[in-house]
Amino acid sequence: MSPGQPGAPPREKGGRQRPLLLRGAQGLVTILEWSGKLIAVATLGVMFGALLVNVVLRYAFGTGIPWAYEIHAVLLPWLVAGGIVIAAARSRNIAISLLPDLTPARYQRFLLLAVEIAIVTIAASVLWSSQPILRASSFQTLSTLGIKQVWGYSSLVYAFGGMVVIGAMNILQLLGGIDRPGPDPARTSLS
Amino acid sequence: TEVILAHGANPGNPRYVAAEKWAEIFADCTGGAHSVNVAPSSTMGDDTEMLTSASAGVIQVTANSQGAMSQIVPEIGLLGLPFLFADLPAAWAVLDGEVGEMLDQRAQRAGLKILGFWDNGIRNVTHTAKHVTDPADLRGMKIRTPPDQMTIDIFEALGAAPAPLAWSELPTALQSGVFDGQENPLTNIYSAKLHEITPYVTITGHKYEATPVVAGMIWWAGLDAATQACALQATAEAGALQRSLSLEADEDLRPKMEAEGASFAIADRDAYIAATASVYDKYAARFPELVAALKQAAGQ
Amino acid sequence: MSATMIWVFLALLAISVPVAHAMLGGAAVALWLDGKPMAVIAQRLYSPTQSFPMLAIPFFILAGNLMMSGKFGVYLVNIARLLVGHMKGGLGQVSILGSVMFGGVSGSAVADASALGNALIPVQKKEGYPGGFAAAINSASSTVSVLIPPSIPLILYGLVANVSIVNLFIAGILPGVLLGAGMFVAVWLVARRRDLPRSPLAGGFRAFRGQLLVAIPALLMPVFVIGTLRFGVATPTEVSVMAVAYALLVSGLVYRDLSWKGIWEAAVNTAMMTGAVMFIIMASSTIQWVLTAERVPQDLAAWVAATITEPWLVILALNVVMLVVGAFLDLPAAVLLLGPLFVTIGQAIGLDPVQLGLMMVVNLSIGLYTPPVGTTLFISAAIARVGIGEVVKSLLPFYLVALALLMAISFIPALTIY
Ligand code: NA
Ligand code: NA
Repeated sequence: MSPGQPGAPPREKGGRQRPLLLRGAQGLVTILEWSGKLIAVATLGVMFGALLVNVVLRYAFGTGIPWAYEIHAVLLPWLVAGGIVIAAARSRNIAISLLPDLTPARYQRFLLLAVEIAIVTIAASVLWSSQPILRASSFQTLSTLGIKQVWGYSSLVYAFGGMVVIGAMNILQLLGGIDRPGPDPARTSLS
Repeated sequence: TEVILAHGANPGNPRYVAAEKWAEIFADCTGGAHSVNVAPSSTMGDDTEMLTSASAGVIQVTANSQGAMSQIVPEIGLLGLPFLFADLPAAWAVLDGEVGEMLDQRAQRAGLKILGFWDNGIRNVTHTAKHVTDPADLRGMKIRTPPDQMTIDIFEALGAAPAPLAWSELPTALQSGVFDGQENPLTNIYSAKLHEITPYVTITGHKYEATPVVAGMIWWAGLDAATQACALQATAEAGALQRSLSLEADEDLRPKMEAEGASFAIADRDAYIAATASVYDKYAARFPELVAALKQAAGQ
Repeated sequence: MSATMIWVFLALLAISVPVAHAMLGGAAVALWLDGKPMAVIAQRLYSPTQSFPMLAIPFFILAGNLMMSGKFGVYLVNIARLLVGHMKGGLGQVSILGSVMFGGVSGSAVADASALGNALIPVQKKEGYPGGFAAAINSASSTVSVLIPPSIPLILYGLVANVSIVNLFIAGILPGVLLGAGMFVAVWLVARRRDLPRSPLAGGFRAFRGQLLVAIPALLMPVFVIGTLRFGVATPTEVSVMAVAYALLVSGLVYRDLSWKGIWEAAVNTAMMTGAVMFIIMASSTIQWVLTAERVPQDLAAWVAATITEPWLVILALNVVMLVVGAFLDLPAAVLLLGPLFVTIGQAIGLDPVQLGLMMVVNLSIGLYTPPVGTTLFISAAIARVGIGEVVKSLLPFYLVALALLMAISFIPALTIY
């Protein structure tokens, strides 16, 4: 839980001028990471405020805010989605890094490429298959807040769409000869 | 083909028994063309999630709850109007009649087919320190409710201080004295051992709740007429069993809970009805025809 | 369907696809081949985010982040040094006592390993500790944090097993203290043999008094957390929210090192950790759906109950499986993967779910400092700049202590059920 370190910038071999496309790819990842940060901090702040006020009201005055127990139904999915996008942008998802550690350096890029392709495929198939659920959730309304459930479910579209885009950008960078930083246990584990 | 019937009840609950019965009847009736996989204990998600799953075609049928269903068809929440039904059979007569059909039509627009209504019992109030036979006893009482607007409205009309809290947090909150009491059907009170913390049980019967049995519209529309009839028949027959078990359970529970230290009293129903009349006015403003129809059907 | 899912999951895991993606990939392939609606994936992914008690995870992480980003860490090390620094191998003991105290603020072993490791390992090496031993102490002792409340793995177990988080937290205190005490003895024995130096705090008690006064508010946090939970004053989620408020108050009013930048960084870091942990929870709920649809947990539990007749053999088998899985998989992921299955098996042999929870967390936290994949092991070795093999040699006494505690918890219910 060391305080947030920014993801190490991708290294480049040989110090050539980076092509525009690859700079654009990194830029897009950075923008997504910032959107994740803003969403996450906002939702965390609102939930903290609502629950704290509710606890104080309940213990001090015996009343409460009815929606304090329902607000998480919409905001927690967005906090998680924001966190998932930040983690994806910084390559900080929990993985078993045994094989990359054993792979000779010159083959590592192929392994990383395979992993990124798998991530993009999986995220895209989840995104594609979620449509019936999104449609169904547009009929449901939270009882005290009066908000449609689809506002919460759409966080899945953001999270998995973000993962597809970040994965695609990583593939671009790998094909363009830029090494992504290798896994570092202090940054990738959450035990 | 395999039909998934999902619900949130645990073994021993009347709903659990009825779901097993539904599976048996439906499989028999369709001559083995369909097998039923019953998923109990919320293993397929909570009530709200099971409804999403049913309308998305992930599961086929769910024995659900009135609260979750009213997030999709708000009119279903009106079944919980205070003291609407004189007793359980009165409620059943209404649900099995025109009102039930009307609710089914609303549900179909949201991708769900209501196969029928089982029971979830009538709600009663428990208190840490006293009985609440008269509405005046509730004045200022800090009472936990589910996050359900109808329940909150009822207790505000009665002069209590209702506050919603997640079900999972309830026992701790009652123990800490944050609340003076709560309200639930006897089966829930007994299974969560709430009568050990709030031993004063008043039979208020303030709010009825049904267990709508719901199928996904995509699945339902794809069935032939004979199979549809089987689903309706299974729901009705299992429902008759569930309702009688539910009645029995309520009667069995009182002596059981008394033996475990709970003390029972009967509320002054007429006084309560008078004190909650304003709730009808509020909902009649939003659903004038349906409230009137419900009152008439319930014989008020 | 379940077999396909497990094979695809393992294959993806082996080529180092992240755990959550591997779970989703396994479930997706299995559903697709079986002609089942794949929409179930999105539905199950969403489900855990609807749980109110789940909110305790981000707020406890945030409280720990806020506390540790300030001066509290420095004071904590100094207090530990004053209490035990005068012993032989004093800095080793400081590392263990520090973990016990830190455990009351933080719910994660990795946070402990990097915070205390960075503060202590370089000094220990300067005082003549072999690098491997310094890293070994740090990688093993930091796991005390996940036993002493608050604890993220115990919250996760409580949620998957449907067990009271309060009871789990209270049951974690004694094993946490016992683990710390056992490691204390281990360090003492090694220190005597290797003649490691004493390192009392400069300035002695006079310096201590001032530091203690400042550190007391932070050290009171575990008392506050356990107290409010134990006496049922508040629920775990409410306590986690109050812990954040408390951390903000303490660092704002006592340490005066609160800044908007610090709060922002703590919040972003909390979000990322919450996202990564919750993603695994969400993905594993998809896997559970496939398994439940085919009644795998029930069948497996029935098979275990019918095949292994002696409950103690079942308990032993569960422990062996966990030691193997824990060697490869990170602690929260392993709890989520094995939890639901083990709870069903535990029920079949009448094992108390609270005892099982502590058994799981003690067992799987050993995996944090075993090769081939061990998080606190990697962090500590990196800080000490030594090879993994060298650390593992020095870890032997700590493995013995942890295994002894594991056996005690597995077979003496009185240690976890009061
Ligand atoms: Na802890
Ligand atoms: Na390991």
